[in-house]
Amino acid sequence: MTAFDRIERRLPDLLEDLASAHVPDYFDDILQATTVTDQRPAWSSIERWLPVDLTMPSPIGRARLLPRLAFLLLLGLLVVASVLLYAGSQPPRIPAPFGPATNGSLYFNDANGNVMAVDPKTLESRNVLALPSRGRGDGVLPSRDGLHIAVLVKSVDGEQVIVADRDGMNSHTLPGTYINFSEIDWSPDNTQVAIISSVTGVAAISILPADGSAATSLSIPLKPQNFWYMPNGSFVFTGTKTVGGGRTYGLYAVNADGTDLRPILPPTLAELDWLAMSPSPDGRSLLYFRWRDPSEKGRLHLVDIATGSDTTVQVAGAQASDAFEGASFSPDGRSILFNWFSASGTVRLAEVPVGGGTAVQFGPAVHFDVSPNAFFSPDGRSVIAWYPSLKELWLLDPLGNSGADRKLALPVTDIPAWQRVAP
Amino acid sequence: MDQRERVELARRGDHDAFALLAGTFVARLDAAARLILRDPELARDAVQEGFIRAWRNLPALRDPDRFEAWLRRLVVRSCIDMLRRRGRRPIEIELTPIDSPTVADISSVIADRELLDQALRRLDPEWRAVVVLHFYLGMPLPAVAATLGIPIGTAKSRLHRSLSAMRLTIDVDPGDSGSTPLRQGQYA
Repeated sequence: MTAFDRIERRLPDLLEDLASAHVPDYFDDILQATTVTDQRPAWSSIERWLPVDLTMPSPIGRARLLPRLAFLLLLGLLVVASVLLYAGSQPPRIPAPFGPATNGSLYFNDANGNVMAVDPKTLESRNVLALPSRGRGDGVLPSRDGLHIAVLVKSVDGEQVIVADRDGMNSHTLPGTYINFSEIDWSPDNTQVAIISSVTGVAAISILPADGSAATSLSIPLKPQNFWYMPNGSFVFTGTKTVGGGRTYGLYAVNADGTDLRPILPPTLAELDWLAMSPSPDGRSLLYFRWRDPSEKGRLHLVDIATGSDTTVQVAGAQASDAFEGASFSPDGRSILFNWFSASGTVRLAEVPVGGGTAVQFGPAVHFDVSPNAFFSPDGRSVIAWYPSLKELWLLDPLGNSGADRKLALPVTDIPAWQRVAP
Repeated sequence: MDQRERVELARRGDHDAFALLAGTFVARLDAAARLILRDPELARDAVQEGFIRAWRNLPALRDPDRFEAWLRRLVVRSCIDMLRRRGRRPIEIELTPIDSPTVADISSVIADRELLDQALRRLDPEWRAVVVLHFYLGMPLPAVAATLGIPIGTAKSRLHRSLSAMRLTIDVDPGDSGSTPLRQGQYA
């Protein structure tokens, strides 16, 4: 037996002895006090309705409530901080560079050239980038991951490219001043933008790293137009080549470093053979339309890049006098958006399966002089269309349900760019 | 008239019944309060507060058979409240040097009221409450835990540590032949 045991055994008796219980001399005071104290009605006490254990937390519990709450709060803050730290350390979720994505904001330049972003659902707009000191914004393009924007800025000194975060933060002007800037595209990895501008008097593709390092221009013996970054990082474009006194026109591919320039199909002598070329999301095929009067006035063509197979997209019900223009793929690559010019002198947007078939016409029918500029939303469920003749911007249902069409009251003078975000 | 009937009457405002009930328990609860608080004046205040609280809230007591436990809880909580109002360590403990009170055996040491008093005083009041409720009022540890509003594990831990601290204060080595002086100024 230890001393501990002995204390434990004898403690009750020792405490009895130490306490020497007796009726205290203040007992009468207690009774006097209770005499003048009213009892609380039973109904007014929660203890009457709930177990005492539940309704009477101990003073110790109360006293320790604050420290415990503080501890829990601290713990909660630590958890939140950890989550934020973890989330912050993780790369943001981004969409695949090609293919369907979730709809983000619409970006455009306002009347002053500043960059605005609009939620297409609520039309709630916000200023993203003010450019008064740097020139006038003349085009904005979100990166493929939706995290950045590239803005073309025109000033008296020339044309420059500003890259910024999607919210306008961390904006910086990329090196170089350009002339006759005509096109821009983001690389699949979002680290570069490529542009077409005049370099020593000749149109050329230049690559501008988004981090602000020096730009390079591709040395290509062709005049590039209508160029696109492909999923593999190469370019496709429509090229014009001057041969002797004449010119040839064709579809070309070239590596991003300017090597391995190659025609996708044999070039032709007709300038209108390869119009409005655009690649499929998987990078395997190209879409364009051809205008050969009188044999082929506006027909959609699909080219398999690997095989060079060129097929005409058949649109059911099309009249010989009808013409198709301005084609582009849907984000899933399954259908084609195009302008359908009818013999009546009007033009409507239409969608047809890639393999051809029945096309669905949708949106307003407008005079053919000014055709709409349109493309699919990132999720492919709607088409945004700018009608210059109407000066109206529309969000249309490509399935032809006109009840779902919505005119967007935005201060735009051209079609906005649609940010792609992660699903 | 048994206790249950007295409680029923007191619940309906019968002050005489309450006086009888209070008289039954006041001595032991006063002693418990003095043991916990180690201050007669504080104990007086705590007991008065507990009993007045009991009278005032008696109509809300649902089970008359639980009156004693309920009253005990009110008084103990008044003690704890009292300590809280006065600060966490409200009682100045004067450590009187003890000059080698050589003892022959542990029984003779802990039988000494002053030594036990000193050992109790050196405990944290909330630890002391566990000891008093368990060893003096004879409450099982789950009831002690419920009364103090602490987990049963905490009550067990406090009891164990309190007893260890008391042993250290008394400084007894069971294997010792007997002549062990108390340490001076040692807190648990």
